[in-house]
Amino acid sequence: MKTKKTKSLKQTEFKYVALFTFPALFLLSYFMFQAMVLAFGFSLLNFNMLKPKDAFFVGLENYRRLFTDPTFYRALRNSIYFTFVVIIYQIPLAFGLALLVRKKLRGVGIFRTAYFTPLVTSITVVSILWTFIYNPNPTQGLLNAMIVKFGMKPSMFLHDPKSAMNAIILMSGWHSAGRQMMILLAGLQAIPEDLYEAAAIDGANAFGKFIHVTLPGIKNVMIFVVQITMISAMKVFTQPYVMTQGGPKESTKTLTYFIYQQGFQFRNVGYASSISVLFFIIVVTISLLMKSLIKE
Amino acid sequence: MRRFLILLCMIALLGYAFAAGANEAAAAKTNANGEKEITMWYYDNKTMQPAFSQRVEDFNAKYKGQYHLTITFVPRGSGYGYEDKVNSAAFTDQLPDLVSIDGPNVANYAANGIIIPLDDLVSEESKADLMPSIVIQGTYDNHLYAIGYNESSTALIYNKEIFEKNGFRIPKSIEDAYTWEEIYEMAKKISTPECVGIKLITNKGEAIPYVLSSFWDMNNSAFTSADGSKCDGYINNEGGIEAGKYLQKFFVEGLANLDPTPTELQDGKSAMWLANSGYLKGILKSYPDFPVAVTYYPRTKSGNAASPCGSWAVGISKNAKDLEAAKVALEFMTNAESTLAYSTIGGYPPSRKSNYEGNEMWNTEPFKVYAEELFATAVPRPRTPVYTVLSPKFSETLLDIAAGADVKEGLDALAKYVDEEYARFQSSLKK
Repeated sequence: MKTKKTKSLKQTEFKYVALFTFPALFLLSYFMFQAMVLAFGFSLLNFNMLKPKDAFFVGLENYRRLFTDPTFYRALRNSIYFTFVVIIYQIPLAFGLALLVRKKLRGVGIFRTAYFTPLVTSITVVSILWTFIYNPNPTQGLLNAMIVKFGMKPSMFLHDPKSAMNAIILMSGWHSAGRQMMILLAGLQAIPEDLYEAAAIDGANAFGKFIHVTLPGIKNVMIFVVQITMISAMKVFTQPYVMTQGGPKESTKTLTYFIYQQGFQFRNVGYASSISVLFFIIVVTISLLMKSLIKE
Repeated sequence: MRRFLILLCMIALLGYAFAAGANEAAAAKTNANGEKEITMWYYDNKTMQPAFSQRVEDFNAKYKGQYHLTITFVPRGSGYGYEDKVNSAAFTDQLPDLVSIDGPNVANYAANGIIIPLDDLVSEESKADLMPSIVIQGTYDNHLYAIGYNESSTALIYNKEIFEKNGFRIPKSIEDAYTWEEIYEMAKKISTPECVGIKLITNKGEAIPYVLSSFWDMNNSAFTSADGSKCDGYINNEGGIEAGKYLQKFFVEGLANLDPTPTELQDGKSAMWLANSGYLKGILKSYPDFPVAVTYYPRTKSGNAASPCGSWAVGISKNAKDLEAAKVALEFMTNAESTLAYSTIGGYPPSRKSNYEGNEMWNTEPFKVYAEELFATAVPRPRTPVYTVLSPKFSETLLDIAAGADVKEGLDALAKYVDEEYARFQSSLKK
């Protein structure tokens, strides 16, 4: 039975909760929710960025244009491909690195630093550097110089629609695996040693311990890493912007690059907003699907 | 409890109102010395910055007590970073008083009301002294909107030692310029993986249409119709496809790099470079021992010639707080003394006719080549309100062509896209 005292205590608690969360909620609502509502509103307008006062209502015309635009489908496919491949390549790589650097060996800190260092470097700088590494001229590109030394034909890398996106994915994984590695390392270190001892007593070998102790122990952290990697990968922009400008033949044009190009370069704010709204729906749908799959 | 929640909501609403109000453009400022503040943006051209900084200092010294000019150098990178910033500022009504614009974008900004007509703000004497190409570049719908800081031209910079070693002829006059076929044969003869024949891509932004559009102009083609309203049937006509196929040859045959380094010629990794005079000045300054020489932009076999022109200009933005102050600053930053300074320090041809009189730099080798081209063969980029779409899409298309894509397909798709954008732009004006 709720006493007057309990009710008063709950109200006081709620006031404190509201007061402490108010600044964050205010900023979130102003910069995020407001932007989302405005994006939806702009998506219903013919809106030239340089003449905002002359915008006029066109209903669902931007969406009609979007669903008949082949560039949208290409960008969507590129974003999904990037996300899917990054998850299956970068996360196992990060997990493998985390398992390696978990060992309490002398000098392991050097390796942790080495694997984490690419992340500290600006992605813009890394993208420019890798453009030089991927140079198709074997006398200028580091990778092609090595390929030619092995007697193979040099690759066009960023200039071939078949290899450009994979080249970007390879670089992105190298750059960002360190972040996932640190999160997974923290998760691995949180698994109690007792469980490994108990497994050893039960006769489990290294593989057995990995399957029956490590994997279940890291499951929740892994789910979190997959989710944040998925959201981050869907938003990829810098690498195609710097390295390929969305080419060749739009093979690296992602949804965020498409939004930028339409909104900033071509000043079609209305159309760019319709892409943003659809992008938001896609990301939320994928997130909810993942959540329900994980629950099952 | 209810009163508490209502109070929080009211605070939130006040916060929104305050934040929204903060976006309104500030009124004209006067500084502590009673001087009217004038703001100006220019892109971060490292070669030109010293000249601009000096002129701003000179302005502030001359108008001490009346006006104070501040210039901001905005990063552009190898893309369109400066234009992105201008677009954002235009959207939020936070443009500076004087806004610098790349020449071919004048039509777009004028059509969208970002800059105001200067007809009544610039004297007839000043207008008469401007190069005709500068007046054309800065005019839209029969009104003058922007004045060029300088002109520009592109010529063929080459490694003298390689040319001498291979016994290549050196053109004696603009009529004697290399033909397309000669350039190709020369590049093919001297090209090795370590040192390709020619550098055609300076950056993957505006440099692509700027440097390469002349191949279309001289070959019975053009990027758009004269009034800038149509692209289909122009950029993708027979002459245009021929130009595209010609340029494609260099890349697919390994005679030009798809990702050239900024100092490819100077490092001995290419033998020729289609580049403007600013780059030549940079080479002469930073690589004094490099055996550089310059000759004319190539022409067709039948003798048709065209060369790039057009450069950065300045206009008064729609957000200028004090028109009189902006007018004074504009006049100073584009007067004959200023344009001569930009030209001498930056290495770009002057935008005023009077600057060429008795000017040793532009009447003697090697810069004379650029000046000759400017007077004889210069063709400005198209003045169309959709140039900001045409330019990046052309760069995209050209890079695809360079990587081996079908030339006709690429140019047809580009033309269609630009025409659709033009129609959308026109429909947005009718309302």
